[in-house]
Amino acid sequence: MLTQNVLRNNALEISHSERALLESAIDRTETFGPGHVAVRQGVEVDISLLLVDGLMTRHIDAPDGRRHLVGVHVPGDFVDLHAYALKKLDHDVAALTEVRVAVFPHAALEEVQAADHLLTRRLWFLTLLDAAQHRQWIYRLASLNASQRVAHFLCEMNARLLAIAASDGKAFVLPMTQTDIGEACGLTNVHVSRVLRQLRDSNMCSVRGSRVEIIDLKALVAHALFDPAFLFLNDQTAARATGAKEG
Amino acid sequence: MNRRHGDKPREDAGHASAEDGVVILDGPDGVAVTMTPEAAALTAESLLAAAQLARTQVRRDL
Repeated sequence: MLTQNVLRNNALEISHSERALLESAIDRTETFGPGHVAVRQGVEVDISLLLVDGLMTRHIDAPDGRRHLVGVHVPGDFVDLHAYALKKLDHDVAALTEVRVAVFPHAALEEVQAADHLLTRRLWFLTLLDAAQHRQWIYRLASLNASQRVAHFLCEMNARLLAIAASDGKAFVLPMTQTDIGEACGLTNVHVSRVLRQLRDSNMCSVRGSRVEIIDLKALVAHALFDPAFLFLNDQTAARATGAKEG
Repeated sequence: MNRRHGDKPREDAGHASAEDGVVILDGPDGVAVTMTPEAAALTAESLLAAAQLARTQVRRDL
């Protein structure tokens, strides 16, 4: 099922019939290579994309040429559901890895909206979840120091990947360069490199290539001041995301 | 509601360190900047000059 990760292990679970209706609104799937811009800022769209496999980013290119990551997406995320209402985005959406997306024509989403108001509310919830994540990213950049920012980002990715069984709470694959992490955390790659070394030397986590190993989740969570409440996970997954519950 | 953190000037100092030929300035208050040695030296001079001047001024109660 292409929609299997939508709201998986979330506080607001989706029913089988709702999932089937959502599935029926998919027109096709597409695959993109790393770096491909799937949705361009300011370009009118009449489709929305659900990420099925791989990682995608939302980013804004600053006038000085720097790229700012303002969101990272994991499978199960509707990367541009807000385009259903906005019709064009204020940022780009790009593939960070090889990705597969499910394409939802807005006309099909309109049919979903007409047919099932509860599912519509869950789709609305998804965009609110996006907003909650953006608020947390603002907080992270404004209030946390460099080491806490990176730790917080890694805790967030672990939590979101836990929800879709792509992390076991001890290790996960994060195919992001230090530059990518820096763009998400407002740091240079030199700074990220040093912070990752500090986190490793402090026996909190180790990042080698694309593999993140969590050595001491409770210590990492405490250092990052991480609270997964903004992800609206179910209680069990939220507990695993902070190390309050093992396995 | 707690007093807003941004209402008060910080009393803890930032920490600068050298790494791979650049200067990294960490904190306080979320500051995380990487600068060339030249930019860092100019920033240091500017900070010292501003600190000297600020000491001569009357501080508004924050």
